[in-house]
Amino acid sequence: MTIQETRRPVPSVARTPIRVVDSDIHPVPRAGELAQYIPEPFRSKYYLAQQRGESIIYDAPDYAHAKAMRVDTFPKDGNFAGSDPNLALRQAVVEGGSDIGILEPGFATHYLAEMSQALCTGVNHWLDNHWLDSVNNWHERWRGSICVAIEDAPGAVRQIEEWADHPYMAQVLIRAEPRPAWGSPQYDPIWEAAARHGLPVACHLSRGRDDAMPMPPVGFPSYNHDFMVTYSLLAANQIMSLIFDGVFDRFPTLRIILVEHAFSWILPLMWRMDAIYAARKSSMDITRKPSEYVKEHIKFTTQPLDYPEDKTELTRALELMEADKILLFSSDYPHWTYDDPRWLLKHLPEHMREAIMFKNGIAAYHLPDTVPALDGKTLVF
Amino acid sequence: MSGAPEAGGRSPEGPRLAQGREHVVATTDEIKPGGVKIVPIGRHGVGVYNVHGTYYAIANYCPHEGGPLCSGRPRGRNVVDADAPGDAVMVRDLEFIYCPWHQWGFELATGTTAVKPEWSIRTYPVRVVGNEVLVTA
Repeated sequence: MTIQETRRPVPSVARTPIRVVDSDIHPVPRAGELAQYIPEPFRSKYYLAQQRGESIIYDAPDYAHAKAMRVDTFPKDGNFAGSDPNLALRQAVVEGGSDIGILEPGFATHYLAEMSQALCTGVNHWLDNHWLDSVNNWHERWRGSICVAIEDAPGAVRQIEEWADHPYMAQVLIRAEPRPAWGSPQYDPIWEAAARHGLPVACHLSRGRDDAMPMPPVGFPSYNHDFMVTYSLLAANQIMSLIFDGVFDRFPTLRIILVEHAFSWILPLMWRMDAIYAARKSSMDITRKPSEYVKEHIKFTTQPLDYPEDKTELTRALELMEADKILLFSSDYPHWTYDDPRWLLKHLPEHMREAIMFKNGIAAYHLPDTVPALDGKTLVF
Repeated sequence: MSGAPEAGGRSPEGPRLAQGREHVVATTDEIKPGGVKIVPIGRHGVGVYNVHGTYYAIANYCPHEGGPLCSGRPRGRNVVDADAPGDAVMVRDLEFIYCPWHQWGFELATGTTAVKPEWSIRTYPVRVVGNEVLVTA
C-alpha cells in the first residue's frame, strides 16, 4: 500500500534582492469565480442580469483570436488570459524576470455608484481568496490592489479601512472617468484614508459604462486608435486638478500612480503648469511650482513607452523630466502590449535603471528589499 | 488557444543539439500541415513548420521585444477586398507566423515582415529525405 502525499510548494529560505517591481499585472477571474463575492442586490439585479458576450470596441490585431492578449497567456483549461496564477507566475516572474507583481484587476465604472462599489467589493474578496491567499501567493511575489469606486466616497473609505491592514494589499486602485475631477473636496475622505494608511492611490486606464466612457475634450473620436491616445489627456486633466485644487497641500503624504496613461507628455505639461504658476501665483493658494508636486507626489508606469525613431532623443527626454523620480517599471502582462523587463531596461540611462526598475517601486508600495528565491528565475540585470 | 504549441513555451527543454549542423528533427508525419515542432537548437530553439506540405524553419525569437515567436499562431495575411464582408479577406493561409506577444507577423519562407521592413527573422534551410525532415541550423 502506498500513501500519496500532496505537497504544497513552500517558499525557499534563501532570499533574493528585489531587482524588478512590475507595477501592472492583470489578474482575471476564472469563469463563474467572481459573482459569489459581489454583494446583493447588485449581484442578481445587475451583474448576473447583464447581457453576455462581447461589448468591447477595440482594434487590436487579430482580435477575434487574440482578444488583445499575449496569445501564449491563455491557460489550457479554456479560461481567459491572466486567470491562472501559476501560469502568470511562470511567465511574468520566472521567465519574464519581475520579482514583485502589483496586481491590478479590471473593473468598470457603472451608472450607479453603488453598483460600481458592489463590484469593487466583490473583486477585493475574490483577489484575496484566489491570488493573495497562502495557496496562490506562497512565493510572496504578488501584491494586490484595494479596488474602490471613488464616485461613492463613503463606500470607498469603507473598502480602504477593511483591507488596509492586509499584508499583501499594496495600493488603492481607482478609475479616472467619474466627474468631477480629483481636486473636488468630495474625494477628500478617500485621499485622507489612503494617506493615513500609507497606501499610494493608483489609477489604471479603463472604459466606464454609459456616461463613464472616458470623454475626450472635444467628444469621442472616430476610431479606437485615436481614442487610445486620448487617455493621456484624461490623466493630464486629473494632474492639473490635483495640483491646482490643492489636494497635495491638504494631504502632503498622498502619493498618486498613473498606470498605462503613457508619460512622455508630462514634460511639456510641467513646463506649461510652471509657466502659468509663475505668471499667476499671486492668485493661487498652492505654495510650490507644479513640477515640484509632480516629482514628489506622482508616479507614472513605463508601459506604454513612446519614443522617436532615434532613441537617443528618448534618453534626453528622460533626463529632462528627471524620469528617475517619476517612473515605475510596468509590463502590462498578459495584455498584447506587454513590455519585457529586459527590453524596457535597454531604453533607460544606466544611472536611472535601479530607481525605475525597483527602488521607486519598493518605496512607493513599502515593499521589503528581498523575497524568497525561486528556482530558475530570470535575472533581468 | 489553437495553434500555440505550448502555453508560454520560451525554449524546449532537454539537451541542446549542436549548432550549425544538419539535424534530423522529425519524421514528415510528425508535423501535420499547419503544425509546428520546436527543436532545441541555439539559445531560443528553432520552429519547424509544415505549410501545405512544404517545410520551413525559423528561429524561435521575435526581433521586436524578444518574444517566443513560435508560440504564436500561423495564419495568412489580410488584404483589402471591397466586395468582402469587413472589406478584407485573408490570403495565403498558414504562410505567416504571428508573435504571441504583440502580433508582429513574419513570412515563414523569407523571414520578412511588413511591420518594419528593414528587420527580419532568421530562417534555416530544410530538406526532406524519405520520411525524415532535416534542418541545418
